[in-house]
Amino acid sequence: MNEVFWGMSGMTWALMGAGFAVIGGGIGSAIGITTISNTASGIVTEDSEKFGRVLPLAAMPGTQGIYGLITAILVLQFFEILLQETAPTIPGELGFKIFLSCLPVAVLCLVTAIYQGMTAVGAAGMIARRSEDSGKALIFPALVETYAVFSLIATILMLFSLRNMYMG
Amino acid sequence: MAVARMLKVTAISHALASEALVDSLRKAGVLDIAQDANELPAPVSADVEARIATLDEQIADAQFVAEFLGRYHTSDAPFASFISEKFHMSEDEFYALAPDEEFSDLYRECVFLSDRLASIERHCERLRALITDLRPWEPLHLQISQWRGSEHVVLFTGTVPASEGEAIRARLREAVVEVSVEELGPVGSRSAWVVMAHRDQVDEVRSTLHLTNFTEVGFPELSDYPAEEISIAEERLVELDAEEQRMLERAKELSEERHEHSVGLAEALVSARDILLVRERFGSTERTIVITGWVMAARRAKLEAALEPVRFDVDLTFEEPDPDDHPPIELDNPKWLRPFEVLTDLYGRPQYHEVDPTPLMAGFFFIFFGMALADVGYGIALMIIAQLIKRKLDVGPGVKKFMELLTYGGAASVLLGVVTGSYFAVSTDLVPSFLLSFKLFDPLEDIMLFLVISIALGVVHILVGIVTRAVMQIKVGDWRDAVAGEISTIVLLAAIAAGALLTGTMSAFIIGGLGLTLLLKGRVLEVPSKVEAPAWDKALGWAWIISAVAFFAAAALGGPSIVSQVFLGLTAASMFVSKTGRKAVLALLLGAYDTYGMSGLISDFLSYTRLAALGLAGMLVGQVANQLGFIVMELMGPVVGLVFAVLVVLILHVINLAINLLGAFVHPTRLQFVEFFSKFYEGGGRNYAPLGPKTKSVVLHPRVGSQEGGKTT
Repeated sequence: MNEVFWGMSGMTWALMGAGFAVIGGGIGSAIGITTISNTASGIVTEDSEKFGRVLPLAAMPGTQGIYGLITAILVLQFFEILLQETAPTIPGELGFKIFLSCLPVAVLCLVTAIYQGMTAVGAAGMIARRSEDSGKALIFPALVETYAVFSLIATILMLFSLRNMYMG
Repeated sequence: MAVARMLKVTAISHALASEALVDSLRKAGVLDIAQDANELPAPVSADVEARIATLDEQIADAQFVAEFLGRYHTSDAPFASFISEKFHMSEDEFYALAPDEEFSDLYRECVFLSDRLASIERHCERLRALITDLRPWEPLHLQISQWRGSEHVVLFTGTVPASEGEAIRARLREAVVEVSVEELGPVGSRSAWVVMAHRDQVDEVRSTLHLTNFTEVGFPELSDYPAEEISIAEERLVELDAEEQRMLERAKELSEERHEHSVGLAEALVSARDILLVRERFGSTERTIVITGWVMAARRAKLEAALEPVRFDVDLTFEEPDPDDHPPIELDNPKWLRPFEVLTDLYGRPQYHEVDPTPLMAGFFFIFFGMALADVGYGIALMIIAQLIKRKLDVGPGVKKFMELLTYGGAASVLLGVVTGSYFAVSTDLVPSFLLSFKLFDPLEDIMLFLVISIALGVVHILVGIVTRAVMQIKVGDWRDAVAGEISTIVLLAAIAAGALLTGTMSAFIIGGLGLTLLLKGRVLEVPSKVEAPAWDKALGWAWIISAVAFFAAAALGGPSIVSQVFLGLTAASMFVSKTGRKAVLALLLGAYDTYGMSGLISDFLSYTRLAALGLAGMLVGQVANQLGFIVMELMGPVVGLVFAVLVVLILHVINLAINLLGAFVHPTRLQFVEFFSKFYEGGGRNYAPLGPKTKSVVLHPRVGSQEGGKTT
């Protein structure tokens, strides 16, 4: 099997996939958290007792970044890259497939984290008005996260299948 | 284990006894007052309105004092930033609170301090701005009162852009011969200038300066040398600062002495006003008042005992609620189940005749939470933290209940952690083998199994919701709706399951189940009895129905093709000849449409895969934390490395636990609300809120010195 696919080695494709997953999730989380944090800071400025109630909302878009990290760890672990002293042999075609498997997380985590941040702003408004609704407020942003979770499941299943097919 | 039984209470008393009656009801704290349904006028006299107006003023004063003193109050309670401070007092102390002369003095002093502090703040701001404005003119040895010039010399003081200084000088020299410019220093990006000229040439100088970016500066309220004025302002600032410190010290002193009292007073006054405002819900005649409300059946004796002192003045009746009534809702579950009521309250309590979803969802929430966290170490840590918050911190009853829920969640995580062999995500090589003997599967190796378990649990969860709905409908006599709706859904799901499990019977079960579901969902069997048509028409309709049943049976079990031909023939004939047949065919098509609508269940089932994803996510990040610990130890040597490794691992695990905890609560809760409740639950019941004190920061205790039974909202 060819070591190279479209001019890049399998290892390069795999690392690019892992990197994209982390970058996509990370950018999404950073933007999402920034969006909600701006509102949360305003609410806490008005009423510092609401800090504990808005903090979980501000943390919610952070999970997409973690899903990106998990994808990267899975790529490194499944294809025997993590903490190895010698470079593993990853055929170019497998590397490209690993790259494709990382795309659901890379793209969906980027998008959902941004939208989750926006939804969380609305939910934070609920808390600002009625602190006792802080539990309900958590549910709406969680609805957005569903699709980030699904992208993680799809990516995990694809990587899992590729490992079974190619790595024995 | 359900919605608590409520009794409708009607109390009629003589108007003169109304005060005593309301006071007894307040002390009882069990009657939820409802709006009088007899459309009688409310007994709100001018006297009561005046008392409410007075209380409004007193509340405003007390809240001002509490808020002002609160600014200088520092709580010594642990985690004060996260937990609002609570003040404990007995009910007797609370009701004895009233604004007295001492409070009036305190209010006046707080108003004085607040105004004076604000005034000092404004004054200091002005002085600081003045000093900044004067600073560039400090070297000028000319009294400000002299800045207009003398008999022969005219002065212009102002600023010019530093970059245009030379150009402006040149223009001035061109226009006027006898002119002098003194540059004093920079003012931001500008320079401070004093332009001197002979008074005869004042107009030329002024017009030349007007054509440039020269901006005149003056201090009409000052007269001394700029340096002197700066020094005076600085001295004044020091004086004001000292005065501000004295004021702040006094405010802190007052806060220490009176903050708790003022918070209590504000809340006591609000409670007193509520007791008066509740009269708007009463009904009255010339000499009587009528109070209607709701009491939990279990607290009826308490209400009767509380009204004992006024029993000769009050006529009390208890009735069961009518079907049209909307009693307030109190949940009545065993103690071990109460923490899960947090979730029901989060969504909204049930209607009075609806089922309480708490017992139905408790077990599922427990398992789902456990799957999403699935680690023995994290579970134990969560249980310890939750119990510490509950027992050691001064938190309200709602938070205590939530901590109980998290303790259950921790126990579930321990259980699922044992099953998956996860102990702080440590590698299996390092876990003692006896612990791993309880391990049933490795989620990382058997990802598919973990996903299948998640979906299987989802199927059971949703089926429980569907069956609950069917039981509710059958209980109220809507068995036809139950069959056409939920039972037919269960039939199809059971057929698919049976077909999948029993090899070789897949098509038989699925076709048979689908046919039966179409017939049931379309209510085809009910059509002949509903249609008004001659007997022969109905007979043809029945013949079509029998042929349809035979068609599905033959398709499922492999019957002769003649059955299909008869079915198609009868369908064509019925469509043209029989009204009953036409309606039955239409019903079957509607049944097909409803069956298509069941496809939404597939996305519901798939939604449960999130549990596996969350469990895996926590486990993987935990493993990375441990691996980083090993790397640190390898890099830094055995002794220093061990210390840093422990630190790194500890911090990363704490972060991982916090993030996973959020997911482990939010996602199982969403599965209850969106996937489960949508099958049978409406909610929208009003919480049972008996007449009594509604406190926020004050926790009331029944007896002096008692620390149990705090009641707060």
